[in-house]
Amino acid sequence: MSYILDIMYCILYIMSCNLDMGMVMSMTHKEITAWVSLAVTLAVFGYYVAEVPHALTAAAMAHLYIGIVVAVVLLEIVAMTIASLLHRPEKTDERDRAIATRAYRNAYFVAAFGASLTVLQLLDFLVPSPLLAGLPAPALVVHALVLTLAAAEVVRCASLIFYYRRGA
Amino acid sequence: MSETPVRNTIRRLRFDHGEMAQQELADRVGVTRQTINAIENGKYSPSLEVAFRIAHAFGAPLEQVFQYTPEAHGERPPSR
Repeated sequence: MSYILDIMYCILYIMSCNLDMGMVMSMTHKEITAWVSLAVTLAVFGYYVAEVPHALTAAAMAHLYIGIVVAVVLLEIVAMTIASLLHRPEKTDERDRAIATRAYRNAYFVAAFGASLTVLQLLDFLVPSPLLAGLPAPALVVHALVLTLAAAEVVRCASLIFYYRRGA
Repeated sequence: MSETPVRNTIRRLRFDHGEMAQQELADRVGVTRQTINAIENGKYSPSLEVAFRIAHAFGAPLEQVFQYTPEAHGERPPSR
């Protein structure tokens, strides 16, 4: 659980560095939550990438995977609660729904691309297995899928921020 | 930054209605202040329902609030 606190500290540090209250107050609650989700995703999956070399057994990988899932859920709950205290949530209107739809569309393309690459790798189409000595094929697939999910979430959050900032 | 071919007079109408705040208009229409701001600046085209709600909030006909200007986006006007 200590790394959850480390990640939490990183997020709070990042937020405190860029905490221009004027800018925060001009954002919608949805944009603030997109920033929070982006920070949580980058922090948790950054930790995942850093820990992958140390998780070589199936048990260690399972432990790491469950750990990041729990970390994402807990951190999102805590961060969203803080965001709600800073900025009162407003109701969702048609522009919010249109922006969310476009963000999910962008994320879908990334998820589909990552899943396609993973399938190709499963078929030994991208990098031949002998070149991946020491890294069991299931482990590669797990890492590829986890990072695909992370990339899709990053693109979703970045798209939300982009569309809200641009004013679309 | 792309703008829509739909122009509007919301800023002018807000001024004519006692400098109505964007938040007040947003509350009347049922959207967020940021959405009113995006519509007013021509960055978002509202749905027909929200367009009618905005016009209703000002007590004005729809065409007084919104004007379609295809020429501004390089579209040719329909031949008669």
